[in-house]
Amino acid sequence: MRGSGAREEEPTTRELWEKITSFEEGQARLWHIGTIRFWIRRVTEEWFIAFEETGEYRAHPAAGEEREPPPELKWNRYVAGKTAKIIVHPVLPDRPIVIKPTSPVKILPDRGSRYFIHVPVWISIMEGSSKNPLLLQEHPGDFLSSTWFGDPDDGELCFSFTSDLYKNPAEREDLPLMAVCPLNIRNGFTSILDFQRICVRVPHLQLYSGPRYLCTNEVELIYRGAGQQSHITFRESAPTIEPDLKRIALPRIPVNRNIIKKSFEYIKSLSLY
Amino acid sequence: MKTILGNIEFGNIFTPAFLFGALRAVIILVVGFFLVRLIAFLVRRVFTHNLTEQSRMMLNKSIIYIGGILVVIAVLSDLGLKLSALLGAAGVVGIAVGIASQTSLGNIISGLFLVSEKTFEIGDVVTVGSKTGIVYSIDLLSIKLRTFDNLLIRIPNQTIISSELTNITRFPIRRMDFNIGVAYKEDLQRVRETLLAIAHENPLCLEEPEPLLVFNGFGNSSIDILLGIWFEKSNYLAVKNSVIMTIKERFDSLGIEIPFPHVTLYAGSATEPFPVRQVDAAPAKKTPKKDGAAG
Repeated sequence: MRGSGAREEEPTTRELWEKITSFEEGQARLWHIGTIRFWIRRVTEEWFIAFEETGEYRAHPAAGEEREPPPELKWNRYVAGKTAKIIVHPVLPDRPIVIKPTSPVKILPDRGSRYFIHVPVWISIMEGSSKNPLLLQEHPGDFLSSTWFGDPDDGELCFSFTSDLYKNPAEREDLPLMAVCPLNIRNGFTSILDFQRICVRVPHLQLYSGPRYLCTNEVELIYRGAGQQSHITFRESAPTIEPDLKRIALPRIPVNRNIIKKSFEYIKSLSLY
Repeated sequence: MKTILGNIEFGNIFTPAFLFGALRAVIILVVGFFLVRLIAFLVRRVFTHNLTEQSRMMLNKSIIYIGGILVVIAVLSDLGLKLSALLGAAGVVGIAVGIASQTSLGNIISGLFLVSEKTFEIGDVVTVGSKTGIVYSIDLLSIKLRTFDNLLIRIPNQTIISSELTNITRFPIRRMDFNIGVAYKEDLQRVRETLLAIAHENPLCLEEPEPLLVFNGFGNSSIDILLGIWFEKSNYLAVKNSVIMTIKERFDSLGIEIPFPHVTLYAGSATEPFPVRQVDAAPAKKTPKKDGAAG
C-alpha cells in the first residue's frame, strides 16, 4: 500500500506515463514499474528491449534511469529510424477480461449500483514523438491466465482476473499497473441477478490518465435475464473519478456506443465426461 | 494420299472470309476467357468477404467452368457450327459417359452434399478413417488432406460421405485427457491437489471450463486417474508437452510414485527362467578351495 507520506517523493501517474525519453548512442535505460523491469538500449539506429519479471513490487517506480543492464538478458531487436526517443505508455489488454468478484454479488430486480473494478494494464513501448508514435512492443504488466467465457462452441477467449467490486476507487491501493474501470450494473430482469463472473470488454474502452489514477471510461451493463445478452453502453466522456483526466489511449477495437453481448455468467461445469 | 491432297485446293479453303472468321473466333476465345477470369477475380474481391474459404473456392470454380463453357459455345456458334446437332450429340455422349462414370458422378453429388453440410472447411484438421490432416482443397471429386508430415492424401467424396469423419478444430477450445497412474500407497487427496495445481499454474490451460479430474478405478498396478485440461485449439502440442513434463517433475519432487507394469520374459516353455543377479550387493567372501589346487 502506498501511503500518503510516500506520495510526495513518487512520480504521479501522469508523470510516470507521459514522458518522452531521449537516448544517446549506446545508452541503456531502466524502467521498473510494479513487478516488471525492462531495459531499452539504443545502438546504431536499432532498439534493443528486454523485459524481466522480478517478482518484487517496487513502490517507487523507476522511469528511464540510465543503468547498465545485466549480461544475461534476452533482447528483442528492432531496426528503427533516426528518432532516438521512446514513449512508454499504458494500454488496456487486447482481450476481454472476466472479473471474478471475491464475493458473489446479488442485485434485486430493477435495482443497480456503481462499482469500481481494477483492470491490469499492459506496457506499450513506442518510438517517436507523441504525434506520430510507432509501436515497438507490448508487454503484460501482470500475468493473466486465460479463460473461456460463454458456451464452448461460440464463446470467446478472455483473460481472467480476480478483483473485488469496490464502491470507492480509493478503497484499494493505487497500483501503477492497474486502471480503475467504473461499472454501472443494473438488473433489468424480474428475478435476482446472482453472478459469479462478469465480462468486461476492455478492447472497446478508452484509457485516461489523471494525477493519481489510470482509469477507463464508464461502462453501463443492463442484465436481461439468465443466458440472455446484456445491454452494454460505453460512456464517451471521461469518468468522474478525479478531476483533470486526460485521454491517453483510444479503444483498440472501436464500437458503437451501445452493444449487446453476454456479460454475466455462473460458473458451469462441463465435466460431463 | 498424294491424290487426295492433290485434289484439295488450299486457295479455296484459306479464303479471306475463312481467315477473318478464324481470327474472330480466336479473339472471342481469348477475350472470353480473359473476361471470365476477370469476373471471377472481381467477384472474389468484392462479394466474398462474408464467405468461408471453401465457399469462395466453389464460387470461383463455378464461374470459371460455366464461363468457359459459354465461351466455347460462343466460339462454335461464331464458326457457324449447328449447336442443336452438337448438343444432341453431346446428350448421347453424355448418357454414355454417365453410365461409364457412375463413380465419378457419385463423387460429384457427394461433394455437393459435403459442401452443403458444412462439416468442415479448408484449413480444418480432420480425421477420416486412420488418416489425419489439414483440409487442403475441396474439389469436384475428392478432398485433399495435407498430413502433418507433409504428404498429400486424396480421399474421394463418396468415401467421406459413407465414413466417420472427425473435425478436430471445429470448435475454438478442446479438452486434452491425460491418463495417469499412481501407486496404491499414495495419498489420493494430495495427488488430486497436485494435479489441479499443475493445471492452474500452466498458462496455456484455461481456467474455465474447469479442469476435470476423475479417479477411474483400481488398475492392475496403479490407481488410474483421468486429468482433462481445456485449452485453446492452437496450443495442442505445447499443452501436451508442458503438462506431461510438469506432472513427471512434480511427482518426482514430491515422491509420488508412477508405477508401471513389469514383464518377465521366458525364452520358451522348456527353458529355465532368466537368472537374476543382484549387482550392487556386497561381494561374497571367497571360500578357500578344499583340496589346494595350487599344489
